[in-house]
Amino acid sequence: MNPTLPPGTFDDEPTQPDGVPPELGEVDRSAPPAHGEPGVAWAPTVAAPERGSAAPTEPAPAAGAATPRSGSPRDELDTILRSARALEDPRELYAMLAKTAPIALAEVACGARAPGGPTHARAALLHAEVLEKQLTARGFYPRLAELAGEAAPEVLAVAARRHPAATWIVKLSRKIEGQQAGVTHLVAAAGHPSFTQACVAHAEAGHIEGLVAAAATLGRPEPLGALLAVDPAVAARAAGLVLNTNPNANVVAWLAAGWGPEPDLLVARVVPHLRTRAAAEALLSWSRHLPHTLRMLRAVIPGMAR
Amino acid sequence: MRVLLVGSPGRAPFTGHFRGSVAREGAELRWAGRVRGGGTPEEGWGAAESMRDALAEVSGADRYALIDAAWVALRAVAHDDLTVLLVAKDGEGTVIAGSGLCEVRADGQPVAPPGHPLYDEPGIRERPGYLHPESPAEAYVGVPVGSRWPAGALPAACGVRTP
Repeated sequence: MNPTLPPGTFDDEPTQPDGVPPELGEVDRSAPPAHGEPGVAWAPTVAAPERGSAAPTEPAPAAGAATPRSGSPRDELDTILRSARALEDPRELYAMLAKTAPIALAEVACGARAPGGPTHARAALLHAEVLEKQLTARGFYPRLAELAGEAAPEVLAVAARRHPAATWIVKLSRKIEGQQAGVTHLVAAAGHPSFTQACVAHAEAGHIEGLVAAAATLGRPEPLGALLAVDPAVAARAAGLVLNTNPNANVVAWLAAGWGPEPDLLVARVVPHLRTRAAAEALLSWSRHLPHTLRMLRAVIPGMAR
Repeated sequence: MRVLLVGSPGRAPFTGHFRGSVAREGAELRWAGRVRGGGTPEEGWGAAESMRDALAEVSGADRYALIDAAWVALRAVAHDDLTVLLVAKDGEGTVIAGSGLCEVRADGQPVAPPGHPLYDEPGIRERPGYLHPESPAEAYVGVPVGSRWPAGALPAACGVRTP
């Protein structure tokens, strides 16, 4: 039995001796393909379609072409793809291909004739590490997201977790998250040294609401610096949300570092966004040289519930 | 009269910057400085707050007394990387002092040539001097050692903005 294929499915199919999928029939497979190695035969078949083009479809046989000969590499991949399409839960197939035929796995997961859909995407994500070795991460995740349907956010989450410093995540975020672009990436990158740079990249891409949401979720002040360059009023709103989540975050320091040494009028715009007394008292503690802010806080704090 | 300091390149150009003034008995002192500029925004802010606290208490009967009192106050919270431009004036005239500066301009014109004792490494001056500008100016702008006179808009480069 072919160890690379699901039991009972391909016993009668002649296979390559090493079980490598048929798309690679003409490739020297004496060594496994390295990450990013050029010339891997299946790469052209997984290229993302041009913008606006239809989803990949089965290629029509050329006029007069003979049916692929039985047992050819293409036959074998066709069989795998047919099998994959028929499976309600492809996880077992993916697991087997991941162990024994990772290039075939890549074809099934995100090749030009991949079945697609959320079930397949979720199965593929279980083997993200294997798949990244077959195709660059930059090629793999966007293509998988394209095929994933409702599971696209899960694709983004795995991509962001595994590649928090990757710049292509910014574009992928926009495609998947729309107006909230950046939240998943920034939350995933929060513990990574690239976090501040990721904030800047999303700000430059115009992902303002995503940055605000990430700042609020994380209670981290770094997004404020990036937001300041785009819209100081939004940065002030975000600073309020950060303080509501994390009163220990010195938002004044970040606003001043990006804005200038007299941030009083800017910091005062944070006050209307404060929702907790702890947040207001924290801001008060950093405002002793900010008279306008100080006056506003002293007016509102007594009315805020502890 | 305004006293400004040029910000650093980067995404947090005013880390550790502080700016302020005091007016006492007919004399006025204004300052613009930077401390812990290479630190995090939080570190810079904390250090700058110390400077603000110290300078807020400065007093003196004339421009010289204000400058001297400012050095005393700064010495009490000294940081090795302190950069500061101090300008004091009274009814008699104006004096300039500073540390960590490579250039100072008054209304766009250099107040001293390169190599002048006004220009020195960052930190507290042991024997601070005074520079007497030829004529009073509306804006005095200092450039920290390692920085350059800004190519773009001066107010933004010095963190002068309104939200």
